[in-house]
Amino acid sequence: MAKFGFYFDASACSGCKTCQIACQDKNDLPVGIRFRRIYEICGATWRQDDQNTWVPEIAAYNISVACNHCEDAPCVKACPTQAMYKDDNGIVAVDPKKCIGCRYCEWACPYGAPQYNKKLGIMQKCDLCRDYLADGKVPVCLSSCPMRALDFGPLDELQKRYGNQTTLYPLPDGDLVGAGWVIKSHPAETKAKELSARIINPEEVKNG
Amino acid sequence: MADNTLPLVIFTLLVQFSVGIVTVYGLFLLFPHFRSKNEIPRRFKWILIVSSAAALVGVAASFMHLGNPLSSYRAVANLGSSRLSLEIFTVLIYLGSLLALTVLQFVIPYPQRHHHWLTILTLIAGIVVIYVMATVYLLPTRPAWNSIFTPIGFYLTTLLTGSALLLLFQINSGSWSSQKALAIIIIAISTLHLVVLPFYMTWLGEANDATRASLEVVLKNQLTLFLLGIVAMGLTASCGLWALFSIKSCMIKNRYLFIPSIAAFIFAWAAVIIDRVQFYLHGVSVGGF
Repeated sequence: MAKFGFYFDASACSGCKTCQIACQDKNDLPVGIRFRRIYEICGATWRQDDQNTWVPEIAAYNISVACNHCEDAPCVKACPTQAMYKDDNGIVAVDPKKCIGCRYCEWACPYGAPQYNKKLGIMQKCDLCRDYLADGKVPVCLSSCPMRALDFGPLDELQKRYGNQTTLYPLPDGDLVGAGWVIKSHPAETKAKELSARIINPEEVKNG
Repeated sequence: MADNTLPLVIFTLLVQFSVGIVTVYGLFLLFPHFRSKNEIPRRFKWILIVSSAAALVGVAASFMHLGNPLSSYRAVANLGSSRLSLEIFTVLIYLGSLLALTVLQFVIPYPQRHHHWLTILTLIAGIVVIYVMATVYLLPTRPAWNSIFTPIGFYLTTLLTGSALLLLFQINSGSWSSQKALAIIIIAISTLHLVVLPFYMTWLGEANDATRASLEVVLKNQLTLFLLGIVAMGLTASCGLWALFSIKSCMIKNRYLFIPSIAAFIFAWAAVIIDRVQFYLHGVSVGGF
């Protein structure tokens, strides 16, 4: 079976969060649980130009992240009950009957994908809208994106079309876990690194 | 602090305390010149009760961090790849061995050969538990935890809390040599804690962005807690020193040991609790996600 993945174009994303809301709506998620999160990255400083004028230097962009259904999924390896598993399509999913809510997968995931549902006492996460896929539809985050910053398909096809980049500052190195997605950088990425840009909406993307 | 952190603080500290008691107790068994002949039967069976109680309360606390504790029996289903599964499995082996040893101490009087073997088995199981417990936190996605400092910290906590309790049990009844040995262990471990700390902080500042973010959490958000931890550990070492001098001045039945050994125990616990709370608070994920 083909292994599916997402493509994310950081240069196209406006940070409108429609994908996040559409996902929450489709999955009927309570407040505080986001299978897809928009991280607002921003770094800024002042620089003195040739004429001794202080000018602002800013690098800002958004990153839309859901589960990357990693090749070497650390959450699957970490799960003590085997509730976190990979299906034939490479989709990482949670078996709610087996999950004990220990949250070890949350620690192991570099993208913050597994989300703890306090009410149910178990972990939940993006399953690439498997029910939609079965009906021949695409994941809801993709169809809702007004900027067409997201794409979806068999990973090898995405790689042929968009390349092999899996890392975007300040995301962790995709090779760390064999992240199953493809990214297009934002032009401000290099400046963001220079400015040590940070996530500026940590409270908003926090689970819980 | 996250909702599930407090039970983990209690679980890790109490299990380490329990293992610490067994470890120091085991060392006294293996090196008899540090104790008098009658010390083991008179005192140590009560020490094992404390160790067992600590381990049981610790394990009970670990259930509190689960969202669905009724299914916790499934937690040993992934021994092949999950360190958490392995941790639970080794804790269960250790607990079984410790409870058997504790019961045996009361049923069959010491010394018996099987006491010795079961003590050594429990001691080894305990040392393995602490190692496996440390590996649970050796996650590439949590760089501040993913270093040699995690197992070092866990083993130091184990020995410090264990020896602090044993010194308490030795007031007015232990031999001069065992009291002295315990005071020296307390001084050495608490000093080592303080010596390792600057190396850890330096490493945090140099390793990568995530560890630097962790360092920032410690120095900006938790500075008061951090300083309190250092003070508590320093006071533990000082009380150990005080205890050592009290032993020297009084030689045998040591009533002067009372205050320094209680103070050392309290400060040691204050220091390790602060240290563990900080451990969980500053484990920033790679990329800050």
